[in-house]
Amino acid sequence: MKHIRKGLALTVISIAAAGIWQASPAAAYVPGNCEVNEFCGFKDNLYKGGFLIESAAPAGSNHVEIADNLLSSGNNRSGTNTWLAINDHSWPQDDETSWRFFPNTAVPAMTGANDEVDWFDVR
Amino acid sequence: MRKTLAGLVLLTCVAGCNGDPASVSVSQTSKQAFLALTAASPDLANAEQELTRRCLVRAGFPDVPRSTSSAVDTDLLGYPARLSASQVSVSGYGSSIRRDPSSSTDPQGSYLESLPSDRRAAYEVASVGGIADTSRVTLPDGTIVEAPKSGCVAQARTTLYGNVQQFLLVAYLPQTALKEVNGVSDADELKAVRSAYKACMKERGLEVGNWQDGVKQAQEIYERAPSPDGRVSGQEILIAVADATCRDKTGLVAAYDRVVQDRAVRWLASNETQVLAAAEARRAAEKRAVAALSSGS
Repeated sequence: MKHIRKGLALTVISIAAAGIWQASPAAAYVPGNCEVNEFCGFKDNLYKGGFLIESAAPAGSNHVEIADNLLSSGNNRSGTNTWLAINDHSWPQDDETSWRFFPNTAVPAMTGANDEVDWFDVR
Repeated sequence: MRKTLAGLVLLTCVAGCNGDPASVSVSQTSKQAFLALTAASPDLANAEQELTRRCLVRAGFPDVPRSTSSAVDTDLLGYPARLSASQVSVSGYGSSIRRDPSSSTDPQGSYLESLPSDRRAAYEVASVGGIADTSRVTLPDGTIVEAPKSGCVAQARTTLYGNVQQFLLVAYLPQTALKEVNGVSDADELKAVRSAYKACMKERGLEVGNWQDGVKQAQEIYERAPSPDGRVSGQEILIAVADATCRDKTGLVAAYDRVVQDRAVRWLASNETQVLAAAEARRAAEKRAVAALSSGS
């Protein structure tokens, strides 16, 4: 009887789980709740601290602005475009591409380029 | 175009700068592996896009547009610091100047907006998987990168690279190297050569703040009066020739190389194993990419 109850319980859980699964076709992979086809940048690691940018700027866009020196994590949900994160220096240094966010990848912790991005180019 | 001067120097140095620091030993094999890893690969980028598209077609999305982006910009060799005066006297800064108009529309975005909300949700699941399940890699500098483990994007990457983690390593490892050489252009050792370069440009009637300003000025000139056929203007050639001549005359690039070299070689020495593994994974992926693109199905 105990086994039957356990089996029944597992069945119920399985059915419930299956129901949840089927009822949630949109439960896609979305770090930071970033919309499909957009790039999202965040103030803190792990896509936290609020959006600094949420943009669907197309390839060829230049100087897509973001609050200076705050970006810590980001999610590129564009299927085709690479977002180049630029650190804008003044003389004598050059502007530099601190990081590239490739299509359909995300960076929860930007150790190397943390807090130094000033704007983006999209390619 | 931007920043890639430091990346360029890094690559050039690992390819064969003289006088590697005596305390650091890096094999020629590793240097070549790193060069291979950092070169652009249109085949890889195109194959990933195409395999993803084919998968989405099989999943019931037959109208997914083909990619029209410039593929993945992974080529760190972009800055024209190595172009000679004779080269730029013919073609100016060449491809370092953006001569195509910026896109005003995004085919994928337009496609997604055309889908009803339930179809759009289904598209997302087909594209990047149905659960919050990702593959993660921690890079040598501690940066964490991740990507979907399921869905058509992950399938395409798995087909090409063996698994998603390999893809992440191949794509992102070279970027941690850039960090090592970013910002060295203000090194004290370069102060004299920077001043000499500026003075040289001024003698030719050009005011520049730094050695990328020639390219920036040429880009602005082009954007003010773009040529329908991408033709290079006389003004751009004048700037580019002065730039190349002054770089050569003052030894600016060579001086920069010397400052960067030590950091570049040290980075490679401390990441040799990962560089070799990633380069091997990329070589295999490139072969699969060519096969995938030629198969047409």
